[in-house]
Parts: sequence; C-alpha cells; structure tokens
Amino acid sequence: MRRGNILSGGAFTAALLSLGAFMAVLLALGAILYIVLSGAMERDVDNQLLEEEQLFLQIYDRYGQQALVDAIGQMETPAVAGRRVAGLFDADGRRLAGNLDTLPLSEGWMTLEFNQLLPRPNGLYRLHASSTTPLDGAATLVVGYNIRVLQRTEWQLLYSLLLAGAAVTIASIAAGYAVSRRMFGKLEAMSETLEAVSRGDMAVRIPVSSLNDQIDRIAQRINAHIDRLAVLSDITRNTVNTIAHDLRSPLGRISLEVQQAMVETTGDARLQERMENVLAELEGVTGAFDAIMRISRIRASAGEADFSVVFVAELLAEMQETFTPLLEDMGQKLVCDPDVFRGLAVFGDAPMLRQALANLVQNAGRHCPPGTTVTLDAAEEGEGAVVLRVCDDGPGIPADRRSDVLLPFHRVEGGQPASGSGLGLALVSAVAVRHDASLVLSDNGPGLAVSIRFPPRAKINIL
Amino acid sequence: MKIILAEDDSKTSDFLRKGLSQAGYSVECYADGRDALSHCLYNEVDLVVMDRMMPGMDGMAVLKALRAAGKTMPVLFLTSMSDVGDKVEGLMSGADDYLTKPFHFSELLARIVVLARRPTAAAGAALVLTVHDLELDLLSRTARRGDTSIDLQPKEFALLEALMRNAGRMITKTMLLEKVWDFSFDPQTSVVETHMSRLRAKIDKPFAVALIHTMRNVGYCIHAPR
Repeated sequence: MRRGNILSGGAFTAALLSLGAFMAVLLALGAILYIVLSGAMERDVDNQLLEEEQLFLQIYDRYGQQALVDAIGQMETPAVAGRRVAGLFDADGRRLAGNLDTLPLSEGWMTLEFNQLLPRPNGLYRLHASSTTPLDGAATLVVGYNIRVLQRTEWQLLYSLLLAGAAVTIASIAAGYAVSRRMFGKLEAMSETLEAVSRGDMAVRIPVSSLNDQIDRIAQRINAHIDRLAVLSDITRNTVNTIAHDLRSPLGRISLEVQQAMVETTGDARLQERMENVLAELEGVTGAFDAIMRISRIRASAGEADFSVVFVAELLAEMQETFTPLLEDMGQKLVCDPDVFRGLAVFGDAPMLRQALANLVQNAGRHCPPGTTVTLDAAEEGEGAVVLRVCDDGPGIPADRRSDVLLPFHRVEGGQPASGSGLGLALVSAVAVRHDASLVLSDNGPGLAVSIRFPPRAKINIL
Repeated sequence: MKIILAEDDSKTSDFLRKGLSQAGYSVECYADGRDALSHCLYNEVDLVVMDRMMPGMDGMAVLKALRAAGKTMPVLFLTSMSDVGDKVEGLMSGADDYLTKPFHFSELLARIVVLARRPTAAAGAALVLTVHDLELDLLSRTARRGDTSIDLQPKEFALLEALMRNAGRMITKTMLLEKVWDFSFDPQTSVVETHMSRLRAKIDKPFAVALIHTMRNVGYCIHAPR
C-alpha cells in the first residue's frame, strides 16, 4: 500500500477538511474567550482600584491628611503589600507616604512596568492617579495593582487553546490516516479481486469485514455479481466442452463407418478418394474441437503451479528449427537469431508459450504470399518487461479489423477457405491472458507485427 | 497374441474386433470395465485396448487395479477426451499409449504393433541403432551411412531415432509428432512431412537404396531392402 495513495484517499481528505473547520471554530472561540475574559479581569482590577481610592479619599476627607498618610503607611506591611502599591504625593510631587518613589507624569489610568520598587515585587502595574476632590490639587493619590497575575492567566488560556488545537490536529490526522488506510486496503482488495476475475479466476471473492460499512456493502454486491458470473461462465464452458466432447463419439462412429466402407470397397478408386476426403473433413472438425477444448482448458486454469522459468533463446530456437523448413517450402523465410536472447527469460507455462508462438508463426506463413520474411524476436522493454514478437512483411491487417481477428472462428476476409480453424489467434489470446501478458497487433510497415508483452514480474533475472 | 478390447460402444467394438482379427490378433471384447479387469487379472493377456469411460468401472480405475496387481502388459487408452491434460494424466498413471476418437484404424494398428513389440530393456539402452548400412550413434549424436557421415539437425535426428528404434514397424505422423515435438505442443502434421522430406534428402536421396518408406495416409517405416 503506497503512503501517497492513502494520503490522497477520501477518508484522509475528509479528516483534513473537518480538522480545518474545527481549527477555524477553535480559533474564533479562543479569540472571543480571550477578549471577553481579559476585558472582564481588567475591569475587575479597575473597579477594585477605584474602590480602594474612594476608601483612601474618605479617610482624607474625614480624618485629614495625616490619617491618610498612616493608612497608606500600613500598606507597607507585608500582609497588605504583596501585589499592591499606593502613594501620596504633595503638590510638588514629593512623596508623603506609600511604597511608590516617584509621582507618575500624568493623572488617570496608566499601566507601568516597575523594576525598582524595593522591597515590593517588581512587575507590570495598573495605576490610577487622582488629585481631584477632596484633595483639590494639594496632594496626589496613586493606587496600583500588580497585573502580572492577570497576564499569566491570559497566557495560560492561550497556551491551553494551542495545546487543544495541536492535540486535535494530531488526533484527526492519525484517525484520518487510519481510516483512509483501512478503506484503501479494502479498495485494493476489491481491485485485486476484480483483476483476478478478469483473468478468469472465478474462485476469488472480495473479503467482507464485520463492520458492514458502505465499502463492505458494495463488496457484498460485487461478490454476488461474481457468483452469478461464475455460474454463467461455468455453464458456457461446460456447454462448449460438452458439445466438443459429446460430438466426438458420433464423429468417431462416422469415421469408423467410413473406414469400414473403405475396407469393403477397395476396388473402387473414385469411391476411395471420396471417402478419404470425408475422413480429412472429419479430421478438420476434430481439430477444431481440440482447439476449443485447449482454449477452454487454458482459460479455466489458474495459479502458477505449471509455471517455470522459460528461456526465450530455447523457445525461439525450437520455433526456428521446427518452422524454418516449413516456411522455406512455401517460398518464405524465417529470420531469427535465438543466441541474441541468451539471458532473457519469462516465467510461464512452457507448452502454452510454445503453442502460442507456433500458432503465430504458422498464421504468418499461411496468410502471407511467397517471398515474405517472417521475423521472430524478443526484447526487454521498460522495467524488465519481456516482449516476444512475430512480424512479417506480408499484406498485414487493416487497423480497424485487428481486434476482430482475435475472436474465435474469425477468418480474414479473402483468406483461403481451408486456412485453419479460425481458432489460432483466439488460443494465443487465451495464453496471453493466462500470463497477464498483453497481445498487441500492430502495423509492421508493411505487414503485421504481433507482440506478446509480459508484465515485469514475469521476467526472471539470470546471473 | 491376445488383445483385450474394453469398449462399451458396440459399433466401435465390432469394427475394431474385425480389423484386429484380420491383422492376425486374437481379440476378446468387454463392454464393462469390471469384466475386462477380472479377465485380465486371471488370464494371459498380451495387450489391453481400453475406453476411458465405461460402465461398471472407468478405464483409469481398471488401469490402476491392473498395475496394483503387478500386471505389466501394455495398455492403450481410447478416449473422447482429447485434452493434453487428460493425455498426460493417462500416461502418468501407467498407460502406455493414448489415442483420441475419432481415429484411423491404421493409427491404432501401428500403435498396437509398436506396443506389442516394445524393445526390451537392453535394446532400449542401445547406444548405436543400425538399419542396413545406416548407423545412428545416440551418444555422439552422429549419423553415417556406409562411409559417409551425415549432418543432421536436432529434429531430424529425433525423427530418425524414433523411426530406427522401431525399425520394420510403421510409425504414424501423429506418433512422430508426439515423440519429437511432445504431447503438449501441436503443430500441424505438415510439420512432420516437411521435416521428413528434409531427412530423406539427407538419408536416402544421395544413396542407391532408400531406407525410409512412406505408407500413404498412414505413416513411415524404416527398414533394410527386402
């Protein structure tokens, strides 16, 4: 399973989308929460400061300046001081009381950073300075509160939000990856199964998990279709086999009858010849039945129990040896140099491959006029894919009719009437499918080129 | 020479019995596999020709029972099953030859003749085959006629070997196809004719006496001049 496939999978994309939506909501909520919370806390501090200021002003109002100086002086005791500052300054800005050294430059609200506020804790302070009634400019009262604590709370809020966001991101990606991986596994099993079915293996089914999700339900439906397809293909195959097999017995009897008649009429030369023709026709029919059975057997076979390493050089050498005299007798030429292909091999069923190549060479010889050159060669293409080729420089087949010739019982128009059963290429096609190979008919300019291209896995490395 | 014919189709059976009797064999027919088996187990039988599908007991089971009982007589299957796989299965389980219906009687006869006179172990292991003045050295893969050495292609050599191993007996084209090109590969029979004519051009043409003889529609036979 490729990681790229999983990451581009639907489940993973959905997880990413929902993650994006969640993060947007988290961001908006966090921002609102931050603004509301910090605003509320700041207002609290301000109100507290104003209350404190009012208290001091009342003391001043009722008991005079010395009482206020005493009251502020009490704040310097550690119990009260902690996080608060207070100061009373005269009209010239001299300190009368409190733990503040200097008078702030302006009146009203301000936020200042103190770092020389000994022995009080330094930090960021919210301050309010006032010289209004009842001070009436004779003095200035400053109260303040250390707001470092507030800031820390705000930071903690932000930090928690970030942490939650990160946790959700990691969890979503992990969950999306896991679900996507599972879905991908199922889809891959599905495509593998369908591929096996297209190769003719009707025994395979898509595994269905107990989760019964959408994919499982689709898998169940596909499995039901494969069941029906298997039954249909069984019926077709059995029918074809039964016809081919059951007609053999009556054909056998006809053949014996004719042979008997030939024994009884040895004197009549004309009759003998006629009956020999009948026997020859019978042989043609039997040959077609054999070809049907062979194709059917190839299509029905599965697995690689009969597969072995087939050396291309040996395969081509046998073809060359068998068919060179045949083509020469027809005034044609077979060109092949098997030694060039030493080191090239495919993984396959040797008898099937021999039969396929034999059919191709015989076809080329049969459909081409004298003087034609038939070339038998092989090559390694792309990522170790082996290609076997049978080419001729004969009349070729028009592009629009090339796919038709692969069909059983098809005969090329204008071909000689006795030119084979029309099953030769159908057999080659079945052999190609059996090996996961592709069969391609192309223009050889002039003539026809037939290539059997084996998948890279069929290629064997020979040291 | 006694042949047991196990075949449930009476027409085929009649025809074969007549033909084989005319060829000089003593033939006994059975339509049921079990009857054929019991006859073979308790009587002297030289060769069995048997249909693969029979009532009572199918041919394969009869064959297995025969071999299990230590009977080694040659068995030839007649069958409507033409497939390569069926042939291989039949031969693997101990049949000596295999002929699919419909067949020519001459084909059957040729095979029976070859089976009936199988080479003994010693003859089978011979390293040099000789017919008249033709010598085939299986070890050095060379052929010579008189003083002339003859250069043969591998297929020509295999053809000549098949003929010479059965010198004096008829070998049909199908038998040659099977022996030289093996069961699982079926080029047309014209392949045999073509290669045979090349072989004859080397073995017979340059010499005064021809050794390879053609029987029209049947096959070939190699023998010394009579």
